[in-house]
Amino acid sequence: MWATLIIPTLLAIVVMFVYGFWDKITGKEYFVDDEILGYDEELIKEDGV
Amino acid sequence: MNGVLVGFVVYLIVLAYIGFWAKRFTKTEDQYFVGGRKVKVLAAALSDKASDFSGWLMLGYPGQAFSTGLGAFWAAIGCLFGTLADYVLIGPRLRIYAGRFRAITVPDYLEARLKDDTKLIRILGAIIILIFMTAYVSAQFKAGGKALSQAFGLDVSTAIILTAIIVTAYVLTGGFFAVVWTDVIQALFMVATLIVVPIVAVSAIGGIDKAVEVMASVDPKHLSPFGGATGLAALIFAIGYASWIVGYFGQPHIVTRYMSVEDPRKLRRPGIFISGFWTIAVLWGAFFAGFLGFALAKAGIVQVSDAERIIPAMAMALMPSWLAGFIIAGILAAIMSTADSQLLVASSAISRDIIHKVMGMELGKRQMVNIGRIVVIALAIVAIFYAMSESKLVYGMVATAWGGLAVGFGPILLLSLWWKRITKEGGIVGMAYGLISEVILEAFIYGWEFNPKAPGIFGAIGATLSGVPVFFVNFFVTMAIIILVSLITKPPKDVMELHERIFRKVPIEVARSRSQAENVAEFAKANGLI
Repeated sequence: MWATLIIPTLLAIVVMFVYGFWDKITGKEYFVDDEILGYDEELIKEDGV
Repeated sequence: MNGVLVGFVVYLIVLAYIGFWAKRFTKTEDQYFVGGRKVKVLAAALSDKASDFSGWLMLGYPGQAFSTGLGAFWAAIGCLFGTLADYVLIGPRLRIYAGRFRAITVPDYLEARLKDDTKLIRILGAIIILIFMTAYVSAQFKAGGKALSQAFGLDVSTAIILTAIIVTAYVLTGGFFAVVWTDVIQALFMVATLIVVPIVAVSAIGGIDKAVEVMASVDPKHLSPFGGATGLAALIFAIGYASWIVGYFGQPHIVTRYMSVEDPRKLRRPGIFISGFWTIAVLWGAFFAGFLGFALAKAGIVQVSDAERIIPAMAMALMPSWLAGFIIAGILAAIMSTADSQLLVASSAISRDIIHKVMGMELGKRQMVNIGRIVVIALAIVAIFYAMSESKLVYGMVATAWGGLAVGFGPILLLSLWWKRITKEGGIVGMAYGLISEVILEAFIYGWEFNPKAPGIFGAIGATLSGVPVFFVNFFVTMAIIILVSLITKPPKDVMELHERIFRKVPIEVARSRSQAENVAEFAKANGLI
């Protein structure tokens, strides 16, 4: 019973860590600038969001 | 009863406060429908999961674990890997394109990505959202109505209207920010509920070994990973449950969360960890609630007539009234956190996609938001009507909703984010096929899964694929259609160039903005302070 529950869960955790640190592993990440962030202009003036 | 009422009133006060607080962030369509693309990753990730998991998590899934036993864990595997697949394949890339195109809705993004000047993709997208999302909202209102009615002894119709009023009120006032932050509270409620219930259940039965012993003596199939099936039947059993994975790619109320997050890179870290670990906690909790609930019922400790009511039954039988109230609030939180997100997405399909973009109505920013609010009210009224209706057509649309959205949006979203060669013709044909085929196959011919009872040739196909969910097969058929049509047509050169350019990767020192600590360290170093 425990194998059915634990093996897929551990596999999922491995996927999380590999993807979560893929930028560290490869040393590369998507390029992002203000144009891509595209924040709502009025919202930028607000604080605490 | 008093404990339940007090817990519920406190919960309503929190929702009202968030709705009031978020009102200041509803000045533009950008803010009202997608949080100005500046939502904190913690909130976006928790909102993603709270919107995803509806009353199914608290009622339907524990019911499956109660009835099927260990085999029901395959559904958890499907949901968990569907969640991860969304982060790996959809989230960051969709956020990058959404920011670049200033897209607010999924049809907004698709129209810009495929450079569709015919508006057909937007219209098809809006129709898919309207048909399936409105049905989905009505299902949530109905589930919320039933839960409220049982908790407070109200008439079901009155309880449905009450659920709709509560949800509509904070969606109306606070828009996306209210939906996201109420989802955060609801996500915490849900996870707490699903940690408490199995702990109480284990303690009541006398340990997991004792529960397993009871199950083995009553029904050994409950301990089989494939519900007692072997060979091909076991494979179909597993596919039937795990097929949920592909459904995740096309749910607009989920993927809109990725479009709203403050930075696409944060979906990689910490986004996937927040969603992933939350999902593991709630799915293990919901599974064990049903799994142990079966043993409790067979041991005569808990009485339950309907498997899907196992969590409320355990709450009433094993917990003090204040804790039972907390559990009931957890069930309502699961239902409302899905209903609010779906209501907002459905209203964006009319106000943003149809009224603003297709009909070309250009008013002031505030007026466009107010049109959005009017549409929210109109859709809530339609959803209430559907929720109270006993119509077979409405029931068919509700049952088709997950599959319809999965097939309507999943293949086109996945391909448009990962394949530069996709064309608008491929998108139009694929989405039209997805919409029409899902309605016909699921609502009129097969229902949720293939079966041999369907008429004519469909019966023969149904016999071959018996037990496999229709949307799972139709997802890949739709994907093949989009690829085929795209290959015989040609995308504009600038669209392909943008696709290559926008997803270029750079060294992480360039990609990641430096933290405040790093800036201070560099300043100190430059000035000889360290």
